[in-house]
Amino acid sequence: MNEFGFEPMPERVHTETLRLFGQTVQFTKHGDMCNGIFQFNGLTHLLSWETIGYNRALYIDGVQIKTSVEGGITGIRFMQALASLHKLTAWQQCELFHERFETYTTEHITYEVAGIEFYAETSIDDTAWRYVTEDDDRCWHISRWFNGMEFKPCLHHFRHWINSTIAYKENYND
Amino acid sequence: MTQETLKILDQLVVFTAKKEHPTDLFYAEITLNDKTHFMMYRRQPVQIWIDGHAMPTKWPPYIEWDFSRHLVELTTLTSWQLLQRQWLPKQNQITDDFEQDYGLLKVAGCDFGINYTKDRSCWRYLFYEDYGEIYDSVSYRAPQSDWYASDDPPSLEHFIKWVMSTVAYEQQFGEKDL
Repeated sequence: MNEFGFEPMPERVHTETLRLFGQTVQFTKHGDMCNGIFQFNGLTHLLSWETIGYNRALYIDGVQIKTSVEGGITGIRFMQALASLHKLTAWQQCELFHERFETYTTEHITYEVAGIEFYAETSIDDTAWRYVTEDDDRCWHISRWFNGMEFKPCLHHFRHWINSTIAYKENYND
Repeated sequence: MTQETLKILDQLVVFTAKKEHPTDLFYAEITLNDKTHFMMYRRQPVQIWIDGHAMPTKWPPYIEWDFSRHLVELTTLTSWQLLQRQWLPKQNQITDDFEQDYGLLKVAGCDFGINYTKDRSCWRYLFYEDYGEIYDSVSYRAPQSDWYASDDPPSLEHFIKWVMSTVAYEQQFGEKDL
């Protein structure tokens, strides 16, 4: 307590949280870096990022990481790097709520319903895929991801998926 | 006696050039909804008449189409009856909004509403946009169903049947695959 009777202000700690693979990770600022501890698959990682500069370099266990999304959303960049580090398949990433991985499309095979065309977008490792609409700004839609090890896109699957999406909405304005 | 057959509103109509008249004039009758219309045409130069009135032609070689479109204006056939004669409702015969009483039907993340013809004899499922606007353009290809008669009203069961009937698959092969 000082001469005016005030308690000294506690040192202000800057914290941020990121949601990584479904876990909330707390980061604390130390100087120009934010650091957090992330436990995954039995391993503990020190995650850090620079709080200054445009590029905001990211580090996992002290090693700077490179991701396909530069200078963008920190959480996505961490997850991309962690997925690579842990050799996660695209489907495993989907199950961990991370859907940013490289894909390819088979646009020569199209599925159609009610005048709307879809094709399959598949992860590079073929473990996950989904239906996406043709490039049409009137009705743009994507399905959830499907496990590429269990099913491959086919007319039979498409029919079942379509059937599962049919719904009725009583009020136009809801 | 020379004859020519034209398909007018999906009906084969035999036109005859009568001896007592100039040979380039062909005559026929058509009965629509108990009303008989007298039709006449000439090829050079092109002219058509219905019930004695000269009618404008839009695409001269296809006078059967000109006869059809003028008869559609003259007849009391409903849009549904005309559909049975392969005549699709034109934009000005269709309401420009959706029947909100039926709600919205959804498939694969896309909304469809119910859209009637103005005479309410038939309806269709039509892709619904948030702002609820139907484009007034024949080139606008919004996803839509065939037309259905009003005595076969929309329902979720009907929608499911329609949706599932439209499911299709196409694989385009490159030249090497042919």
